[in-house]
Parts: sequence; structure tokens; C-alpha cells
Amino acid sequence: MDLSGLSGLSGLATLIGALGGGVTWLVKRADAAKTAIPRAQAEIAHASASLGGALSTVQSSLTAEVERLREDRDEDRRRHAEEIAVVHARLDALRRDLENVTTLWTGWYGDLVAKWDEHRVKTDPPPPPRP
Amino acid sequence: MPRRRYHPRQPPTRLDHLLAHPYETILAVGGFAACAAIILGEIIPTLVVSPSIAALNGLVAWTIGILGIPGHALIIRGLLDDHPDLMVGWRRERYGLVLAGSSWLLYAFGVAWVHPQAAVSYGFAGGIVTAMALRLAATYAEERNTRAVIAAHEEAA
Repeated sequence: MDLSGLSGLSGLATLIGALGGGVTWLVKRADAAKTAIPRAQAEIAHASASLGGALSTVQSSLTAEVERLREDRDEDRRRHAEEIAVVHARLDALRRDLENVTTLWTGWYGDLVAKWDEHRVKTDPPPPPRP
Repeated sequence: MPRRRYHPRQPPTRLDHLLAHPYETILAVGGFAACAAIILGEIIPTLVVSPSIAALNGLVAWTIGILGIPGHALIIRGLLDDHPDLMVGWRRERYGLVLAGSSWLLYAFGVAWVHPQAAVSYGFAGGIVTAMALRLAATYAEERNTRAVIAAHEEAA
């Protein structure tokens, strides 16, 4: 072991060596005051936390899916309401046409019956209405 | 470490530990061998392990070896630890990281002092010191996290 000529580097070696030893002593002293962490307990706790995290992920995923389904349901309801309104409008129009035809035919038939004596001698009785 | 295993084996095997900490384990084994070689080189004057080490003052080389051998051994021991108390493994690894980090720091300064042009050598050693400091911080973070998880689990139970 050559200890001749202690240079600045030797001083640095002494300093770093002392620092390393000192920090190790400090770490040892700080850790000595700490309580034990049982491996089995830590593994159970970590597993539980992982399971909790996984369940939370599943829950949030399901919540998002339910929300999406609700939005789809609302959209379907809106579209169906629009389609029903269109169908109702068409039915109303048909009903009006039917009432119109019924009125015309009723008038034509009433006139035919009321003036049957006149019409029956005519060669060209009034034709049925063409709406 | 409960959350660092790649295979759910109980207890974890040496291979599980190695796969969980590949860089750290290999670096620690290499560092241990290097420090042992440095000490051997000081004991046997004809044995030259590295021109940079040979150029260092004997006290510096001895200090590197004396800090590095137990330091790296403790890191390996801590990484492979299966003690029922997690603190035992972390404690061993922490002492090892401080000692081995000091050894690498001294090596970096020593090489930079005697061979300023060997930037790769002392730069790499500086990188190892940084990595060891980060791993030291990580052990504290893992301990805090584990304690917090256990406390939350006990509170919920």
C-alpha cells in the first residue's frame, strides 16, 4: 500500500470515504427507528389495492357504457318521435282526404237518391265524384 | 418487491429478482469484481487491472476497493432478499448503494484527475453514481408507497 505523498486526490479519497461511511451511518440510524414491513402484509395490501384499481377501472368503464347507452336511447327516442310525427301527419292528410271523399260521395249519393225520379229517366245520370 | 415481480411465484426465485432488476444486479456483480480486482492489484504489485487504477495513489485505490466490495455485495444481497420483513432488503440495498456510489464517485474523480482525456470512463462512472442515487431515492419511494398502501388497506378492513 503506497501512502507516500498524500496528494489532493488522496484527500478527496479520504473525504469521499468518510462521506460514504457517514451517510451509511445516517441511513442506518434513520432506518433503525422504522417499524418492520411484513412482506405478506405488503403483498396482500398491494393485491387489494390492485384489485381496487381494477374494479374502479371496470366501474368507470361500465359507467361510460351506461352513459353511452342512455345517449343512444335518447337519440333513438328522438328519432322515433320524429318518425311518428311524420306518420301522424301522413295519417291526418289521409284522414282529411277520406273525409273529403266521403263528403263528396255522400253528397252525390244523397243527390242521386233525392232526385231519383229525375235521374232514372235520364240517359246520363250524374257520375260519381272524382276527387 | 411485491410489485416488481415478473412471475407470480411465492417466494420469488433468484431469476425473478434478476429479471426485476437486471441492470442493477449485473452492474453490482461487475462492480464487485472490479473492486476485488483493484484490491488484488494493490496487494500484488505486478497485477495491473487498469492503467487508470495503476496511475492512482494507493490510498485512493484502497478506498475504492474497501467501499466498493461491501457496497456491491450489499446491493446484490438486498436485491436477492426474501426476508419476511421488506425493510431488511431495502436497508441492505441502501447501505450498499451509498458505499458503492461513494466508490464509483471516487473512481470517477480519480480517473478524471489522472486521465482527464478519459471522459468515457469517468462519465460512465458518473452515470452509475447518478443511477445509484436514483435507486436509493426509489427505495424510499417504494417504502413510503408500501406503508401508505398497508395503512389504506388496514383502514378499509
